[in-house]
Amino acid sequence: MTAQLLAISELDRVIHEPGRLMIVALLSAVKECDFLYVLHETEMNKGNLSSHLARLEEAGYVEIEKTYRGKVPQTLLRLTRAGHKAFEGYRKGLKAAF
Amino acid sequence: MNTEVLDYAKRPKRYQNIDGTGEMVVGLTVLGVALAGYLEALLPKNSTTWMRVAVVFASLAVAVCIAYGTRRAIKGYITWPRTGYVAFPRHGKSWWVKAIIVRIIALIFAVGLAYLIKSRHIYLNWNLSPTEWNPRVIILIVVSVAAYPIWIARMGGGYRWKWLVLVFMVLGLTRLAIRAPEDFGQWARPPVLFIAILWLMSGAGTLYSYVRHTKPEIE
Repeated sequence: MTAQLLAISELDRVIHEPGRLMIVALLSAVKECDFLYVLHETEMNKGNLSSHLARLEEAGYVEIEKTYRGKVPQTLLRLTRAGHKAFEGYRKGLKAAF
Repeated sequence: MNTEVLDYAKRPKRYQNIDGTGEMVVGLTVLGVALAGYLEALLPKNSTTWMRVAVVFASLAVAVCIAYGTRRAIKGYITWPRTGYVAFPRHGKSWWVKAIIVRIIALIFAVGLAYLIKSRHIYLNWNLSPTEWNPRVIILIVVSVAAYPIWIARMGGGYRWKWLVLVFMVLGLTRLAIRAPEDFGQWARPPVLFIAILWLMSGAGTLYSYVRHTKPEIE
């Protein structure tokens, strides 16, 4: 196995999936945002986005908080410290591979 | 690949001016500066320096409060149901350290310059000749005109009609500069007011386009 392939194989699989990568990249630049914003920016459908978020939450990269804004339910999303670290590591790993 | 990822990380920045509120905040703040200039001119000639400073600070404080109130209201009632909610992280420790160092250096420079002017009895000629363009006038125009496209580009670009706003800004400021009266302070008031109005109009235009092209998803 070449060094490049080895570097690619060591990339975080949870973040490597394009949909999840978009979500993590977006969340890395904000303190928190809601489900609607991520839905708009990624142009995914609600089901797809929910499943990606569930996977990221399971990995401990994203924190999901169900709350209300007035009487309207709101789902707040935040990248955890582990998420920030994983994204940074992924970017460095990708840069090193290419 | 890496640049695409970086692009996604840059996208939230656009949220700040997606509805024109960023431009409105700048416009209202500059309007506060213009208002301070006009109010200060209305004060009696024997007013103390403290009174003048108080007028300037009061008008700036009112303008900044109105600007942030407007921004909050638009984000809450118009942007949130359409695009969603975004909160940005507070600046880190290193940002504050840099900001404080830059301000201290600027303050030392200003104090040093003031001391130099006072000790050497340098006479500053603030009078303007209507026929000769003073460097201060040119600097004010160049800075004001450059600030608009730079700021729009930093916020992730804008609409094509904003080039027209820029052209209008250049033409308007040039026209106002040609009509320069004798005193620089007196001269600066209409251009500052003009800049504030243009920023506000640009923000209102962005808001109109945003509302027109988006639908609220939360009722």
